[in-house]
Order: sequence, then C-alpha cells, then structure tokens
Amino acid sequence: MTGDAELDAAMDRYADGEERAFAIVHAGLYQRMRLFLLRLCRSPALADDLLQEAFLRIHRARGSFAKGSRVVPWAYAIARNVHTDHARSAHTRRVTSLDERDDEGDAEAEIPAGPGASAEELGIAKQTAKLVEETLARLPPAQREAFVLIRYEGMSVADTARILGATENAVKLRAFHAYEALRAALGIEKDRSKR
Amino acid sequence: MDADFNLSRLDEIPDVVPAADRAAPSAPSLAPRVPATAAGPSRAELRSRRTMAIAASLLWLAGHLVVLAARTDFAKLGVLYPTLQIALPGLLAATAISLALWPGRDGLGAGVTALRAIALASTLGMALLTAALPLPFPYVPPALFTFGQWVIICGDIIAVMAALPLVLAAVVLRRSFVTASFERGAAVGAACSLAAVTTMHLHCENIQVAHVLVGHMVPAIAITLLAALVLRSVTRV
Repeated sequence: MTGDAELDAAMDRYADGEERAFAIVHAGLYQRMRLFLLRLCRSPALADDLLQEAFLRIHRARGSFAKGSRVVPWAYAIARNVHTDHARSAHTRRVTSLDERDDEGDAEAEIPAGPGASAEELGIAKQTAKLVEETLARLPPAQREAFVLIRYEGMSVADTARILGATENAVKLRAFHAYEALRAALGIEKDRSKR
Repeated sequence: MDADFNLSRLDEIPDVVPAADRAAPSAPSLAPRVPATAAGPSRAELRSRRTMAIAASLLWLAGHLVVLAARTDFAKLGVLYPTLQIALPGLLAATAISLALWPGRDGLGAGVTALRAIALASTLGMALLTAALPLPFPYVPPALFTFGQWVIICGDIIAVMAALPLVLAAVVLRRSFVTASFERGAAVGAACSLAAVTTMHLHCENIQVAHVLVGHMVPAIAITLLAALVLRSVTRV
C-alpha cells in the first residue's frame, strides 16, 4: 500500500501536470475511497460506480489541489460530494444492497466475530452487522457521514469538519447522535438475543 | 450531548463492511476508466488563469471609473467617511477573495465559520455601517434625478461592474472547491460586489444614507446571494 507521504507527493506532481503520477494516486486511494463509499451507500456495485465518478472529478480538478496538502481528506471530500449528488439525484438506480448480497452466502466474511468463531457467534455477529447497517441507513446523511468518517475511516474531528464543510462542534454532535441511535439499536438487539 | 462523551466510544459500534471487502485488492487498470482528454488544467495553468481573471476584473473596474469620472468632493469628506466607505469595502473585498481562494492548512480551504463571517461582515456589516455612519457635512442631493432614478442608475452600474468579475470567477473557479462551495461562492460574490461598491464610492457623490443603502448596498447584497447560489454548483468538485 502506498504511504500517505508518497501519495501526497504523487498528487502534488499530478497537480503540477505529471500525468504518470495519477497511477500512484489511483492505486493509493482506490481501496480507501471504495470502502468509504461502500459504508455510505451500502452497495458494492454502486460504490464502484461512485468511485469511478470520484476519480474522474479528481482527474478534472487536479489543479485545485493545493501544494503540500494531504490528498486523503481532499479525496474523501470529493467522494462525499459524489455520494451526495447521487443521493440527491431523482434517478437513483436500484442496486443490490450489502445485506442482500450477504444473504447469498459467505457468512465467514462477517465482521464482529473473528475466524474460528462458533456458529452461534457468527449468527449474532451477522445479525449485529445487519442491524448496524439498517440503523446507519435510517440516520440523516449528515450524521451518517460524520459517524462513518470518524469511526470507520479514522478521521479526526477537525478533518471530518473540513471534509463535511461543517464546524467541529456540529460534527461532534452529529457523530454523537449517530452513536446514540446505534447504541440504542444494538441494546435492543442484545436484549432480544437474551430471550 | 453528554458532557463526558468520548469519541473513542464510537469503537463500540462494529463495522458494516464485511472483513473480506476490507482486504485491499489491487486497483484495476486505469486505461479504460480515466480518459486523458478529461484531465483538468494543471496547478500552474489554474494559477495563471486566476491571476489573469483578477487583473481583467481590476482593469474593468478601473475602466468604469475612468469613463464615469472620479468624484471631486474628497476635500469635504474628511478622513473617517472615505476610510469607512471607500478603503474599508476595498479591504473587505480583498480579504473575501483571499479567504475564498485560500487553500487552508490541509488543502480544503478556509473553515465555514470564517467564510460565513467574511460574507456577512462585508455585505450586511457594510450596510449597517452605512446606516450608522454620520455624514461628513450636511448633504442635499442635487435635483438632477428623483430618489428612485438615482437608486436605479447606481444599482445598475454596480451590477454591470460586478458582472464581469463574477463571470470570470465562474469560469476560472469551475471545479475548484471541494468543500463549502456555497460559502466560498458567497465570499467570491461579496468580493466582486464590494469591489464594485468601492469603485462606485470613488465616483458617486451622493452620500445620502438612504441612497447609499438602497442604491449601493442592497444591490451588493443581492449580487452576493446570487453569486453564492450560482457558484455553489459551478465551483463544486
């Protein structure tokens, strides 16, 4: 995996007009942005489409990348714009969601339970992940974005605020509301599993 | 929000993406995905375009001042009035455009709070200042035009003066702002409209508060709002 410093330097060269550097930028950002979009839209097929659009926007806006800046927050902000535009579009396509895909099999790939977990643990883990996904989907986009960036993408509150174009307090509040909703949902789920 | 809320508690929530999907696959080939013709201008080209746009805008405003002629009552205005009605809007315009174009520490630009503050301070703030500023001498407007005619003439000239800088901004700032494009658009709009107001204040000798408010500041506020709405989509990456 390309290191952040190497990635920033490659984006700098690309913004300066060195076309070949885009391959390094693409390789370094591909998986991170795909996961980010996947967490936002919950559909692998849609995430791939949005990812392609995000890279096209990076390609077109390369000159606006400021010298010496970090490319990851910049690229995340673009990916977030792509997702927002898609969500606003009246022609949103119907695509397979993660849970539909999960139903097709591959329970080994579930998250909370690690390899070697019992069937019961895997079942609980799958149920938990589905619940988290459903709860995230019900959250307002602003809360979902703040939560995903901080919890899953490992962004700081300051970076998240920059990416979302919001104040740090607003971001903290959004993440807190998302956390409260998810915790409440998971609490209900735990109660059910005890019965 | 709980006073003791710690963001590390977010880690209690498990990930929604299956572990298999989190493993890093190799990125697919770029060849069919990114057409070379769609590449945007390089950083140097963009900087050059922006410099030319600012230079053309300043020439446009200077040209208007030459054609319309500068005011001749500077001696009667004292120091305070020209400072707050000519120098200050010019300074605010320069600050607004600098802030809108500032890449920030991380390349995502100035924060939304600063952008909102400059957009509001430079338009509504200037309007409030105009309303509160005492006149440097007792002023009676000449009977050349009615109040409405004065307002329309000055408002139209301000709109025309701000139009070219705004169009140039829309062209050279296309796909430039990854975040807060509405606020940045407002800051650009405030810069263009206040530059026009500054030029107008170098020409217009009518210092009647109602005239300056309705004929100069209201068009500036309207232009700022319009710019924010238009530039929001044009400048967004």
